Amino acid sequence: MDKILEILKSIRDDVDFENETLLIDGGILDSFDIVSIVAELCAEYDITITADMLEPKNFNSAAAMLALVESILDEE
Amino acid sequence: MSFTSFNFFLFLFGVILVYYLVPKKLQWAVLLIASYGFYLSTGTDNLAYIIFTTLFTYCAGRFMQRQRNKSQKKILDMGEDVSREKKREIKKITAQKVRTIQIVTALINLGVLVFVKTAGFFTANINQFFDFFQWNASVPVVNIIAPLGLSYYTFNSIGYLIDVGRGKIEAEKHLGKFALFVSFFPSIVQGPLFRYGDVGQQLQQPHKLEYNNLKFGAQLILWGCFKKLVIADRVSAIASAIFSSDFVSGEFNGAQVFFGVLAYSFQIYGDFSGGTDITRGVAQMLGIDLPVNFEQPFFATSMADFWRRWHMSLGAWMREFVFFPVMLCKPVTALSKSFRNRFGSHAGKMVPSVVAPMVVFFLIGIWHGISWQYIVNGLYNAIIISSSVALAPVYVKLAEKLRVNTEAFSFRLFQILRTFCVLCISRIIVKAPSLWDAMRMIRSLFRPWDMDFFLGNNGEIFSYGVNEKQMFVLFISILVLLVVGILREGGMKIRETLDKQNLIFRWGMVLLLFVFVLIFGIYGPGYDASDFIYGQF
Repeated sequence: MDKILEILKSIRDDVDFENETLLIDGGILDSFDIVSIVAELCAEYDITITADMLEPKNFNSAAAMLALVESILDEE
Repeated sequence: MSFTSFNFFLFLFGVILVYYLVPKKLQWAVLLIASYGFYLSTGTDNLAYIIFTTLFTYCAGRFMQRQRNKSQKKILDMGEDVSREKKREIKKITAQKVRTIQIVTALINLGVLVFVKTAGFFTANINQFFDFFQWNASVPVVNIIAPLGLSYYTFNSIGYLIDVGRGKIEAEKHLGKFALFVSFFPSIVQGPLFRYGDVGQQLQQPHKLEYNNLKFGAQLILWGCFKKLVIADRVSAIASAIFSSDFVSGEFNGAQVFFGVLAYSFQIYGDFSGGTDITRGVAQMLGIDLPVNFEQPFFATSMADFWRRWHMSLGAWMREFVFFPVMLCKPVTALSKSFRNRFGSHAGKMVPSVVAPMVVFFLIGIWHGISWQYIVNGLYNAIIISSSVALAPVYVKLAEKLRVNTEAFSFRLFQILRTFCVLCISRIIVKAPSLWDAMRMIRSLFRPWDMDFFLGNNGEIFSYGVNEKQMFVLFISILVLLVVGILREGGMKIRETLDKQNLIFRWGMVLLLFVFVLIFGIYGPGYDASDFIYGQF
């Protein structure tokens, strides 16, 4: 979790990623932020996040992003 | 057979009757026969294209599915003893194979579309190039009339192949059922675009006759006819007159141009969204729910917002299959990262926010037609959207400095009017007889306007094919459209709300609209309802 929080902070240091659970639905992150996050996650974990995974539920919180990464690692 | 013709409604009545009378497992076959019957009624020449796309996409989908199944079987056969790395390697090889097939098949499908749409443009431009350098050479100009619905079924087919490749859906085994997905008749004229996992599945499912589906579907068709026949076809006379070569070759004023672009804006909205309402209404009567394509686009507060509300199915297609993949591709993400490390997070965001809209709007431009006007319009939209991302921090600071309350209604109204003005420029670019004429028309908007024209003092405003009485009908109709738009924007579901009212009011409103369309719709003996503008795309 710490690794993900570090990545998120490096992209948007003005957001409370520890507690926020409506990052997408609340309009806090836009599609360009998401792309930066996805690029970092892919590089860090050596995974592939495809366009069809770019759904709000996968990016609404740091925990949701961690769950997405773990599910991809399990799948792969 | 136009969607607003008597013959179409007769055809629809017959289809609905047979559709609900046959055994449910044969309903898809009725729709397939109806779809090909409808397509044939528009001309037999176009049949080759749709058959090619159907067969090619079907075979490519099956081939991809086989690759995926083979890979899965191989991993299963290996059992638990094989290392995770080995399984990962097999999956990676399959993914690469599937991706190659995806790219090749998408390019072939797109190739047909591009060839049909660009052959005339390129051959004409090559000849102009020869003429410019006074070379004694020429190539024969090839002009192919795009088959009805080519853009729509090509994009649906490409979306299907990408979804199969991603493993999101299983490739369809039944050729007939797949052929229905490609050719479903209500959406063949002007969309909306849809996904196999959603509408493709609905088309195969059994549907029982439901009164609500018939009632709501018929109401939506009536509303679509109102937009198309009463508003779009009436206002088209003004747009045609002001954007004609004759008009722009003379002297004109900004007031006239604004009047023309206002008329064209209502024409294209009434035509396209009206057509989509008819399409969705027809589908609903058959128990099939097609995606929404418009959400009050004239209330958009920015161009990005406008594109989320206008032709939404194309926007969704572009977002999923072009915008995100472009933003996620390695060169773009690497460049974005490098910018972020050097110049901060906003600069990092700028890279994808410039590149992705450029690609998307260039493609949207081409999708509408290959001409310099559509290409310039695509780039114009991309520049506006990219610059709004780039300048976002400036706008925030400016609003703070000027103490603008961005939450107030007046600010939202300002945003709506600003977006409409930006949109007017876009409309002029594509509707003017040429790019040069478009520039002259846009320039005239920034010069003093002849306000007598709008006040109707010299009567000129009624000389563009819509007289005083017709203008009154138009005014009332647009007012109705506006009120319905405001109610919908506020979250009201019009048909559901109407359904909760008392019987007399409910039927009174529907009958009123029906009579209004019957009296004021532009049709009658000797009048051929205008073709849908988006049918040509």
